[in-house]
Amino acid sequence: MKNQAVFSITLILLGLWSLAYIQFQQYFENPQKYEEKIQKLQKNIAKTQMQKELLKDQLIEFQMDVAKILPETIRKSPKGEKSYPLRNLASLVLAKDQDAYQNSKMKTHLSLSKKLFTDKKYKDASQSLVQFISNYPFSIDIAEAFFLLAESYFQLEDYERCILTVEKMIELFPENELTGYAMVRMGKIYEIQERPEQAIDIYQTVLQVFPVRGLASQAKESLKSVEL
Amino acid sequence: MFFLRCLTFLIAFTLNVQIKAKAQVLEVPEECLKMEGECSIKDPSSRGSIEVSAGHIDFAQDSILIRREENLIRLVSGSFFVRSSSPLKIQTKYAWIQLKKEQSVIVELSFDKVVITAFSGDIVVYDLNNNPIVLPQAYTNSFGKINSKGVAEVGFPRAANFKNIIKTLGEISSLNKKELYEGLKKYKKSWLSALDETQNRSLASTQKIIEDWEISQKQQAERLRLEKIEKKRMRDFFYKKTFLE
Repeated sequence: MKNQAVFSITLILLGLWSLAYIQFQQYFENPQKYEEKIQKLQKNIAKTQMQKELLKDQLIEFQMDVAKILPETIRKSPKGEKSYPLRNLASLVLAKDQDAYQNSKMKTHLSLSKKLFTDKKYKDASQSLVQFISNYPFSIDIAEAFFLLAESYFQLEDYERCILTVEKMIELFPENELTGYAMVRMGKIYEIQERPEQAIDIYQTVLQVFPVRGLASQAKESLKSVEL
Repeated sequence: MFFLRCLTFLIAFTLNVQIKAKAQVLEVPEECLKMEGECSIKDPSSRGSIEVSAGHIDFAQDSILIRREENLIRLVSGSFFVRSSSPLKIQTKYAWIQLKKEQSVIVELSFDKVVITAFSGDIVVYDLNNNPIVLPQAYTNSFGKINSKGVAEVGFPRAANFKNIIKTLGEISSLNKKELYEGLKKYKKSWLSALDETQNRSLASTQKIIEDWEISQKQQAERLRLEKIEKKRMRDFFYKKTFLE
């Protein structure tokens, strides 16, 4: 009797266990599929990355082949526009030298602008300086470029633009000595335009902010002449 | 008791034990390693090694190499320990190596340079201009790209960093402990003499650097003097323009 009872209970438990097992099996079967899918996708990603690396290596190999023959080819190539495609290729292959090239381009541009200015070609100088300021806004010579631009406008008697440029200088380089010089020039414009109060304000500001010998003494002189 | 036995039996029978399979080595084209011809290999899960008829290559996890021929290998990225059993040519993006019989070399590739260390034997390395550079045992050198003048950038040969070598070999080498110990013992001897030589050479080159520096300082001072004159001239010019005209 006792054995029969144990047998029946075991049978029931076995039935329950089988049901639970089937349920669990169904429940966990799907994640397995997804895991397999994830593994496949991960393998695909790794493979794609590998192919990308291989392509990059091929590109470097090609770049180095080009870089080997390029200097000699450029030397032999015709000058001017005809050599543009080669130079374009060189810029792609040798991008590391880009900074040095940019610096030298910047210096050349400013030297040209200065030359135009000293040759009293103020219109050309102003155009060249506007281009320099827009092309190289982070150049260390930018304050000088602004000053030359203001001075060019003054020489061209374009007082409005000259004042605007000096105002920009005050905003961007308030402590630069060249701004002091440009401010005195601004004062002169106000004198020409018969606005003595504004001229006095400017000269006094220059005296306070730039106690530099030449600049301060000139501001003082200008101030005296306006006050008279 | 009987009940427990049945339960244990059932659990053991139905338990689904999963053992995570080791990720396979990636091969491009698929399963090319067993076949002849070009084959690119990468092991994303652990360090790996391949055997070619001319030698044996151990590589770090995620390193990529291409077997072009049985005696021509291109290393694409990562760290490698290459041992040759017969002449073997190794290409990298910035240099290529011609290994003779029974030589070994450690190659580490990074974004802008390839560092090559001669582990056993005097290794002949060619830069991108095909200039041969002999790298004596225990010496290391770095190789870079071709610059705008068409000249390959090559570093200064020096004694390798011993600690780094042990670390790299420990990570990638498939040599057993005894072989590795023997190899390192031989390497250490050459490394010590390389260290002395490098020291002497460094003293001479330091002297040269100091001399060059002194010359450049003089040149710089002269340049500054000229710049000062130029600035003064410009200032006078501005001053004249602003106040005297």
